[in-house]
Amino acid sequence: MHDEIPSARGAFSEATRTLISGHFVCEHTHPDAYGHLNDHDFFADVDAYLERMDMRVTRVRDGGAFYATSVCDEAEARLHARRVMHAMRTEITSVVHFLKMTMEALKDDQAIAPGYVIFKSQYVTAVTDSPSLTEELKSLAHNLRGTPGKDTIEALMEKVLRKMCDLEYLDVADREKGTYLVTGKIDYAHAVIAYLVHRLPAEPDEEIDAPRQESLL
Amino acid sequence: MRSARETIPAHLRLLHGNEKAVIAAYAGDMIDDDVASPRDVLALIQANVIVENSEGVRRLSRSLHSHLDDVMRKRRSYRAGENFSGQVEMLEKIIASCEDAMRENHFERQCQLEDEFRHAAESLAQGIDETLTHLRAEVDNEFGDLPSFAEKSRQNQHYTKRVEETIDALALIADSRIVDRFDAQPMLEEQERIHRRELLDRIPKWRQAFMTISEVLGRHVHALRRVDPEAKALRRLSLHMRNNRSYEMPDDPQDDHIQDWMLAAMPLAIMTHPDVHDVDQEDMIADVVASLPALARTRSSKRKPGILVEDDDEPTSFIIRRPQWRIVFDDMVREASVERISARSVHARTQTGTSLDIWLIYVAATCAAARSEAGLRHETVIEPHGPLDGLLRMKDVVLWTE
Repeated sequence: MHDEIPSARGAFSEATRTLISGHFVCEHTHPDAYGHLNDHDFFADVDAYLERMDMRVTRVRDGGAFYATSVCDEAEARLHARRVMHAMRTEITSVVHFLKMTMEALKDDQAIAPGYVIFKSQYVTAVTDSPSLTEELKSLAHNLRGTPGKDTIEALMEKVLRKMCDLEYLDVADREKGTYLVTGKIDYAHAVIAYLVHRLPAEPDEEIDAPRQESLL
Repeated sequence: MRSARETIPAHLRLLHGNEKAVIAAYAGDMIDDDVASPRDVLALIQANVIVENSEGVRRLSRSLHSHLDDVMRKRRSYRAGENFSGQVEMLEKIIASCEDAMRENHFERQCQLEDEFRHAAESLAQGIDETLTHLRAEVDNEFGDLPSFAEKSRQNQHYTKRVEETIDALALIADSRIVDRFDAQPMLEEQERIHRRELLDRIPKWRQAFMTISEVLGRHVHALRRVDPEAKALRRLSLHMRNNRSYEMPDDPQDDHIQDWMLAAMPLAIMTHPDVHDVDQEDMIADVVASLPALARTRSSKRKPGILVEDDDEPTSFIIRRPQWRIVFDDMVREASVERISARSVHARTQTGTSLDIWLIYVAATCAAARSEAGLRHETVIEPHGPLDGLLRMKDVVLWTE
């Protein structure tokens, strides 16, 4: 049992409340709770607490965040999985398009990882300079639920970034400067994407692997 | 329309023929008559190589500028490292030649070879120093900002190879057969001194520096390998979605193994409410009530146009707008009789503007506060929340009067 020092008690409350409420605990959004959850005893404590509600603490694949999963038997698990997958259907499409667009706009071919900083101004400039990215942004923004705002790139970008914040994949680092931080939940999205790719029909992937730079030089 | 076979060579010839103008434009310099004639400048503008704005300022087209940026960056990125092993072998060959010259008593040749050895040793040491400095700088900024993952991977391989080769070269210098030759041939004293000063004595420092760089590079390559499959998967899914507009994520795991992400728990709303029966909480509740904003009030009569506020003699009255749940509750209390009324059923058939849980808590708390003066009675119906969790939930509140 870990020492019940005040900070640990506060972190326990924060961690359990966050997890039970369906949120993700990551280094960037809940640094205190995340730090404590990395402690084996603290983790076991929270896990035991959640177990009384038929839940348990689970870590995303690369360890970027903790979240609560249901504990149930095989039949219930399949029913539960269907509910989760159904709920993810719309969300994952937006996230895939957003991540792909971000990689292209920011000229970064690495997958976006937790802690990655997105500067809105840099993003807007990149999209403005590229007609294809502008189209992608419009398509993505129009497919998102919400009030239709202005059709400017700035407004569309704001809508997309706000949606990603609502879905907890981004966190506002500095609203005035327009800086956003990628949260640990992004690893959850990568796990879903990996599963979906595994189920795709086999396709020649030369187009995917072809380095863009080669065609320029 | 001309084919690419004709157009591209013509375009390349135009660029090559006006290379001074292109270099000047890339460097941001003026394109005057010294670098290109007006006719050539016109040809470059027509070919969209140079762009001229309304103020007559000429600059390189954005696409060509970007292309040259990439070329320059690539050149800078791959600059580090030379063939050190070859240079070490060259030292050995020079020493062998020195020995031959000594055996033949060829003094001039000996002096010439001594200079060559000094030059080769200094050149090798300088090369290692420069490589070290360059790699150190690259390590500090995580090996540069390249536009594509493929290039980043190639660059990593290049640096990994360079570091490994350099470490091998250091080992070669330390274990070189030259040292044995120096021991066997006392006449090579000057060469031995140069060899020791320029190379041997600096090996520990170089080795330590290269180990540090190698360690950072190893970590960086490992990090890239970790994210590489994720980037590929993302591209593959994105491409599939683009080619199949009707694609939708499957919503059934079918025969697949249930993965952790599929079991993400459904969120539970956590809300806390004061216990209105707890006398210890009365002061706290009173404070909360006192801090609530006043109800919205609406002026019942409008001031006539052109009349100032201070001249407005019209009597003013305000209508206090009650919230919807309060109106429904008051109606329910008014209708209360010996017949029991279910607050849950009232919520179901009227618009209270609140969730059922909040409505029931409001009804129970208000009835508890008002029962003594109005003869109002109420009873809360409690049921277990779940079979095992030990929690209770309020199912209904029943009202009646005695």
